[in-house]
Amino acid sequence: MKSPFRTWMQMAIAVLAGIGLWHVIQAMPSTSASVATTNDDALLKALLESEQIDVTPPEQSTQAEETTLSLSRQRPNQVSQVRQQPNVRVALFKQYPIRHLQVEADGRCHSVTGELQRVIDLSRINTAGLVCRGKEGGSIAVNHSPYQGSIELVRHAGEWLAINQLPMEAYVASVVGAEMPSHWNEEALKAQAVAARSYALVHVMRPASDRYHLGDSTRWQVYAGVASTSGPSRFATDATEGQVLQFRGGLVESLYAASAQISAEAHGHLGASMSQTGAQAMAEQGRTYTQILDRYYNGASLARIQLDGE
Amino acid sequence: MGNESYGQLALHRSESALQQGALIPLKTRRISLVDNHQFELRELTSDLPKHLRKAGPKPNPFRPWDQRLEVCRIGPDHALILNKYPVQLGHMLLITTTWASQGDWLGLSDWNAVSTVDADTTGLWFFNSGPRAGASQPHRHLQLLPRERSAERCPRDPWFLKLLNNRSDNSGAREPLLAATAIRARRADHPHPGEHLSELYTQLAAELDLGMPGDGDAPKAPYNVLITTNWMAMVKRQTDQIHGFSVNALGFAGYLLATKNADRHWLSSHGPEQLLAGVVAPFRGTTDAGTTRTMDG
Repeated sequence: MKSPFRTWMQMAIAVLAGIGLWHVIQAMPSTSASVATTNDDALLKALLESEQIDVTPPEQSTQAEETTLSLSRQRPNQVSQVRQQPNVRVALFKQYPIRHLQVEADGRCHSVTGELQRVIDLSRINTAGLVCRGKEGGSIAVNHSPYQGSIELVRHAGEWLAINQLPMEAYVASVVGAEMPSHWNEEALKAQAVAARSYALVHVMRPASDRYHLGDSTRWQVYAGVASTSGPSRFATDATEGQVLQFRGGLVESLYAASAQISAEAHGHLGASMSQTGAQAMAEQGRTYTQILDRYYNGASLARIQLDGE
Repeated sequence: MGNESYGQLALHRSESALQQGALIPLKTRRISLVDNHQFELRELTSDLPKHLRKAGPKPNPFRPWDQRLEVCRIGPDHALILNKYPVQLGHMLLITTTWASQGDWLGLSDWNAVSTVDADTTGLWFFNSGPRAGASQPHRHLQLLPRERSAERCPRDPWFLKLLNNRSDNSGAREPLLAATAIRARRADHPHPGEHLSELYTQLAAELDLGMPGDGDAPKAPYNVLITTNWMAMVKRQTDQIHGFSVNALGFAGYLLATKNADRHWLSSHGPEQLLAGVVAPFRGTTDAGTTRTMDG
């Protein structure tokens, strides 16, 4: 029997061919079939994970696509927002090891034993499986630094490691703010947002670990939660919502693509990764973010993350 | 000799060891790398020293160590000795006095010894965890290139400092070199510097998914450690050999040594960063621990 998530997966990436040229291809293009198949499990997992914090979980159905669409019609804002972005699970290595957790009002933590707490001194806790969740945009302070979404604590090399799960767009807004000064040209910030989202999506599909998609340090891309999210970084993220780079149907993470074959091809076509100062210089010369991306990722085009097939 | 620093002792010891023929400085010639100030390339003009040759059985040069090279005993378990093949004058090795494997996790007693020396004579510390990380001896040894407190620690110090400040002028992607490197700031005011170094080492290993010191298992991959006054960095490795170069921790500090086998043409056409990128754990390898979903198995 065909899994409903398989259907979703096949609709996962609707390609918009050519930078600046926007038209949605309804069915998944054949070129991306091999890529999607390779990452089947990971993407499926990502989809399932995004269900877990869904405001309106879909009913069990083999017609997931139709169900989603009908939900979309009923509650357009909420549903489409959740459906169109996967959640990202970020390991907070910069906060490792975690010593202190505090959840804002209305947030809650629970462990396997079911206890509810808001302020946690981790030196006195030794049970795994602790999950904390903020409510309605509330944040959770990890070692006194605020993060949106949920925080799960896992044992890692003998200490507590926090895994921060949050929607893709909130994640991207924080990365843009961490990787580029907020006063920079908005076109440079937008280019950064697309590059950051592309990189993250590759890791959502091909996680660094079975517990998290990627980390928060310079090994991956810098993420500092609420502290690095600013008005301009949010604006640049909203203006490019869901947009990622693709190369011949595969996701582009600069020199890395979603399959070995595409990666090898991309090596030939794409230059080095985007220089931030270079992007800013181009933006100051009046170039748009699509022109900036075209300069650094020549041969790549823009695609939109779309989980609901709409 | 009572008030002399370890650095001064090392220089005095170097003089006598040279006269006794116990010290064999590598003869090198500086080669300029156009447009790259973050690397210092030297060409070996003397023969390849024995310890770098592949053939033949090798006795352990540290057990016993050559007394003519000893600078000082450090605590109950360590000795500070001169490197027989120094890359600069005063190049020191901190070795364990009894057998300990280079491939096993460094322990608190090692870090206490490092902090004892470092409080007196600082510089660029480095460690190669095994042959694939560029180590030539299996007996545990950390290395120190002494530097004045105000002097630059190494040519690539600025690159590491950028990482420390969460900056890496590229985005939406991580080059292999970045993906294989973790870094943490050192605290100057820590009341227990040895424990602090041990904590940083453990945290870096955790970030690179190398495992945990003391849990009974050896590190999951070869690695290098670099330490300056300001930071400790760890690089996860795949191999030491590339295009005829043998790259150890010093390569990541910006010091490259070209022997006769080295393909300098490749280096000049591709650049030293590409050389380093080729010896670190590959991108997918850096995301492997604990996951079943690596692309190349």
